[in-house]
Amino acid sequence: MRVVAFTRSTELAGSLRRYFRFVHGSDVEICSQGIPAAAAGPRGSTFDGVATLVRDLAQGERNKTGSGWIAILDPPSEAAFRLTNLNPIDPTAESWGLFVATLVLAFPEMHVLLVGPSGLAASSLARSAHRLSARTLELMRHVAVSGFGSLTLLDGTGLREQVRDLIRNKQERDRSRPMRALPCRERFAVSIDEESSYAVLEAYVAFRMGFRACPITTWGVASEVLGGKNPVPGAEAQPSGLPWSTPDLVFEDLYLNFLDLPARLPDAPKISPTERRLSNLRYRDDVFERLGDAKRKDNFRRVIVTVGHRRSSTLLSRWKENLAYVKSAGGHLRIIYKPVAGMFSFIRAAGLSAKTFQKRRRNPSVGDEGSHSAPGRIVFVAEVLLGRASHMLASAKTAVEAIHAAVLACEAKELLVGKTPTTALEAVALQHEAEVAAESMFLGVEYNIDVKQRFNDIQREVGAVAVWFAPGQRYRSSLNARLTIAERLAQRFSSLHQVEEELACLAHARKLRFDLWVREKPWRWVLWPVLRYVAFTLASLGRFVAGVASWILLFAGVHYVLHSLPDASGAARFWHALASSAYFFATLQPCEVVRHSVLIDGILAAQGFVAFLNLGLLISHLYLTASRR
Amino acid sequence: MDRLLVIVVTRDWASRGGPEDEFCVDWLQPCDKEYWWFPGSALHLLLVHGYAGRFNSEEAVRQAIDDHARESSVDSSYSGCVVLQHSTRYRIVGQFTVSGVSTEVRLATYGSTAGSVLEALDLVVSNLSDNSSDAREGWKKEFRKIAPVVARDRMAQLIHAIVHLFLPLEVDFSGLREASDEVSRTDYATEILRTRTGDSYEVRLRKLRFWVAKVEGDHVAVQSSSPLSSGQCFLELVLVCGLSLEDKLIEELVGLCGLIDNGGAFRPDDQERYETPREDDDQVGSFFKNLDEVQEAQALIKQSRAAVLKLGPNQKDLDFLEWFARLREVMEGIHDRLLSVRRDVGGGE
Repeated sequence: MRVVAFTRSTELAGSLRRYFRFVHGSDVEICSQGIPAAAAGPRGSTFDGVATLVRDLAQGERNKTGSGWIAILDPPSEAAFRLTNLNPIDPTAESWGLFVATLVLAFPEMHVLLVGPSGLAASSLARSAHRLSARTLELMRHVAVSGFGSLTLLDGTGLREQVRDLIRNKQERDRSRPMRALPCRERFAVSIDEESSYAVLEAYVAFRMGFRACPITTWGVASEVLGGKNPVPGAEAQPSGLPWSTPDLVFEDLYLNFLDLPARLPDAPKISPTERRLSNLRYRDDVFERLGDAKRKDNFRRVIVTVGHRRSSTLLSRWKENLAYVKSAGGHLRIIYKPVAGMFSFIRAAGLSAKTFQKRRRNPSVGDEGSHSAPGRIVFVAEVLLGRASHMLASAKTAVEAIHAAVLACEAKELLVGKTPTTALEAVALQHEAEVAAESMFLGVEYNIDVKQRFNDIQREVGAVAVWFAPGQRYRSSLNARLTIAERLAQRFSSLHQVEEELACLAHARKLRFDLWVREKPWRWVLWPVLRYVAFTLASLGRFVAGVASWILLFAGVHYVLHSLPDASGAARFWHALASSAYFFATLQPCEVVRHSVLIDGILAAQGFVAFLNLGLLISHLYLTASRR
Repeated sequence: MDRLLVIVVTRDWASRGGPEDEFCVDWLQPCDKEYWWFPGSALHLLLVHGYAGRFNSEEAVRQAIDDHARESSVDSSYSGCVVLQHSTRYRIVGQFTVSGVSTEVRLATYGSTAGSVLEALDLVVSNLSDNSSDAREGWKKEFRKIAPVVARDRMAQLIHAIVHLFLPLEVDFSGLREASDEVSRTDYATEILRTRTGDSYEVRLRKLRFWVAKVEGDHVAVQSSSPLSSGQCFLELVLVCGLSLEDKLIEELVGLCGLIDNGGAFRPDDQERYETPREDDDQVGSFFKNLDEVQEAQALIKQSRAAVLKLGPNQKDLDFLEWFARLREVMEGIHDRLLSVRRDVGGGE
């Protein structure tokens, strides 16, 4: 765990050093200088100093290992009240407020702990979960045990959403709100699984669909977030008492074997001792208070992600009992069996692609009267995020690390709200690259991954960014971006030995390249149908066979209609025409009995060109197959 | 509504960021800013940061005012305009128009000879004979509303300082609670006692009581210890902001500090209303006194296991972690009530 403390108090620094050494076995980097002098220069921009510090932190991260990251921010007393404005695009915000807000956005995985009062909403989870106190230190210990060292990466505590809210509502002097389209994450999701890869993947899927999310992989974190009962008999108090939200969406494994499972599970008066196990969903809802409360929420969605084995009659009867319970408890229920076929299949199986979830992902340009550029400070944050994501992805060895990179890119994409198009497109590309890397690295995802939905998603996202290009260039720019992304994905799949997905990306890229090529000169539109056909048939051998069969059938029909084979009649004439068409396709020689006329010879010539083209396509297919590793 | 534009140029001979920098110390504005723009409903204030070396002529002051007025949303809809300067060194004299403001500008100075900025403003506003008496009273009232804004920020400073009195102890107690076994807990406690620095806990409690209610001000360790240059205590700031001392949260804060509330008027200079309890009844005081005794015992009995194990979160009758968590919540709760008071809308990098 990496701990950085910005404090001038030697006494507090000493306490923190002791705490982290004895409890976590880690050192604390103390920055006693606070915000550098550059931030307080006579005429310099306050943000310059903040930017320098943020860049230094991002650079320092590359030399560190470990997943957890805590930043303790203790402004000097005379600057304490300046934490009340945590808006990075507010020109009146002071250096400490700017620093905190920029850190929160640029380092989503960093758990920021503030000393002193802040401007966060008094009743919010963000305020209590980000105040340096015994409660939050205990929370950090539980998180450290979980192996996935962050409650904030997917904004589980809602701090980022509060900063975003300030950004969203920042008015310019002309009353416009340039960042009003910044996506909003009002709802909360949890994923419960002792396998951190599954928990993180599920939480990320929820995050992608507009939820704040929290992966739960240990009993300690589950108790904190879901309000678990104390296993000590008679003790009812929550371990931390932080005001966590009741989840709107829960992904959960049926069989939970947390590494820190208490020796004795908590009592549940309504459930007999023999039924007290976490695989009993009735008991689970009773033990975790907020899971029980969630059932009463409107639009609550419960997704059980399980291997689904029911090898014994006992397991089968438990499964039936659980199903009967969750159905009677209300809310939407989905069951997903492991492994899953990629993120988009997962989204579909979880019922998250329904219109109710899609409509919240509005087109960023709708109703936006501002400029095509995001505020400079937001662009700075996005660039820091993208730099970090790129570096993280290059060194990612596990699905969790790749998802981490995807989150950073996703944050950059959302912060830019489609503005500053080049950087926004880079964010889109990087997010998809990181996602396919995660899918490919994760054994819990089926060998063949759904890429078609991904192409649709890329088209939608690129389209939203391209609205800022000139109308004449819009579609072309969009094609160009999609082509680049498809090629980068193909490269990524290739390096991860996902051959089918690589070919699918190359086929998609080919189609886009042809589209782009014909748009360069008007006369090329004549060749557009041919190029489309080439792109279609090269996508797979099945399509090629279907294409050839269609041509044979088509020309057979033509020969039949034109009576080019005069000796036969009725059905026999059709079969004769079909055989003749197939014969010509295979040999480029007409049947001997074929009648010759200008029209028929012209059609035979056209058929010859088509057959020749298909021969070329067949050779291409054979080459592509033979050249696979 | 009639609106008045008030421009105040702060003390221009004080060194920037120094103890006499009026802009930073009295108005609590960041030293790196050049001005503060406060648009109230009936009165707009432009506070220009004066400091040594900034102005070298009357013209430079005029230019700074003009520049900042243009950067702020100064428009031409004011019924009057007043410029108040702390210093007479580069005093603006003669005709003066502020960018975009067509009305007549009244000039005045304030400071040790001319009285406080508030008195100077009252005087100038009273002489604005073209405006109705209602409007003039409204402006005076509006100007007084700026005081709670500053008081709220001072309160945040005070809370931060109070938190620092006990936060290191909270971190230590938290670690002792979370240490995995008794051996590491003993090592931890030994380390705390070996390396701990700063005031004794008894002095910290005295400071807390002094900073909250100016009780125990006669103790030598707490005299002149106020983190605020104004020397105000928490309850004074509460009164400036218009909150009542009978408020439940204020009463709880006083109780958490272990003070006795005798009722009646609160006058910071004579402690009639709040006082410390007798030693036997002082639960909070006895807890911290005991902590100091543990520290002293450790100094006498080097690394005594029995002594260090006395140090722990559930010692005596006070649950320190709960007490401190509640103290912070109550103070921040009071501060939150004041957040509706608007702070700076303008700025100036």
